[in-house]
Amino acid sequence: MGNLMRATDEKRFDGVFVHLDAVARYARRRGARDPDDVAAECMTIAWRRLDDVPADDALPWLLGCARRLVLAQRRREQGRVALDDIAEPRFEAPEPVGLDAALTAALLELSPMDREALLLVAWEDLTPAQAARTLGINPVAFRVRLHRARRRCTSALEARLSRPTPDVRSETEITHG
Amino acid sequence: MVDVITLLRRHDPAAHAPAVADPAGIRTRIALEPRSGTRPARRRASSKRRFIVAFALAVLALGGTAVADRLLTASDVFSSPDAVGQGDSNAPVHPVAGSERAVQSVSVPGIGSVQLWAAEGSSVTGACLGLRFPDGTWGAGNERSGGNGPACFTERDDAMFEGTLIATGIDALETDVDAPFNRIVYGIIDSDRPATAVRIVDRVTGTTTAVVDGRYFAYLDPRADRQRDDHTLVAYDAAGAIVASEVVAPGSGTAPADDPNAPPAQG
Repeated sequence: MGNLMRATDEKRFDGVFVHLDAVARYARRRGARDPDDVAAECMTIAWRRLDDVPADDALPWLLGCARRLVLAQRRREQGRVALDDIAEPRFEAPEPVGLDAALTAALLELSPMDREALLLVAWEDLTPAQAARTLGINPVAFRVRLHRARRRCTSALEARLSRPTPDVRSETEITHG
Repeated sequence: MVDVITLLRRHDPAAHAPAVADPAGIRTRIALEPRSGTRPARRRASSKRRFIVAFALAVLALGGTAVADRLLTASDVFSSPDAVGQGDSNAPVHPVAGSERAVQSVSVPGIGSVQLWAAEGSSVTGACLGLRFPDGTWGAGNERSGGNGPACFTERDDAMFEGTLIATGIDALETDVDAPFNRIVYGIIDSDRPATAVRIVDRVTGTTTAVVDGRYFAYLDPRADRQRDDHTLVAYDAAGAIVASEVVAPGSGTAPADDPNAPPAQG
């Protein structure tokens, strides 16, 4: 009986583990010092808490896990909290890294949740429903956020057109989403 | 012409990131870890439904539904994969047949009278809402409008992945139209509460709008400003008591109602 349950768990976990690279890419985009380590730690947590991981689509759960781990890592580096503290009294999201200055500045004008809404769709390639689950909000509310985030990010970029960075200059004709 | 999402994708800092090293080793080490206690698995959506949802989302892509066929009725629109559950396989909502009706209209400069249509949802906390333009098309996602399209949805959030759905009070949606720019704000007050609201006030703009059937509202943001979209919605019953509220702070999305003069936020 125990072996059968173990085999069932292992099979189910295989469906979770296929997202290892996607979780690592998320961590890299959010500035994790060791993205592979974040991904491996998320997978370990997912294994321990396999019953909490949605069986039909684990990726939103995993990205939520990765977001908390990256935030916790940054807090540790800043000496703000204890090592094991990944509690989340209000929504926070790690800032994106590796972008040119104009895009970074435009993204930082958004609230953390609006920014995360935009990036989950743009970079993680999540569907609106998946991204909504990652953020813990209903899909319709997510669409409002995404719509606002696109509009605000576009406006922020347009405001910088008079002084664009060379990297973005060639693509600065922005459409409103 | 480049959309901001397209631009972000072109500048993806992980586009050429290497795959995680030694995944098999990681997998083997994890399997040696102990499992925590088990609980009964939750019911999951069928694969057929997941396929329908995935197909709908592939059609939808980004930024709202694209239901533009002027021959579609409200029943067609709300029953379509585009609208049903908005792709939430955990809580799909279908319209109750025959409950579709126009509940309110908003006069939009350059457009005319835009109707808010509603239908009851198949779940206790579900509802359907959509805007119909004078030419018979449905917003948004067509060439002239963006934002929310027709949708059937649960009026709850599942913030902790535990199937614990949290009441959200007022669900405010918005659709923008261009030439000239205008923003239509519409929504519903939690459908499993007594439908006692009679008016809703946006304390930011001072807009007061009647609430239909105790739940539904729609109004035109008088600012007609692409950049200014904050609002503080407060719904009142006939006695002037607050029924529900929602705050969207400037530039920050939905936020708790921490203004001491504001009513307590619902969810």
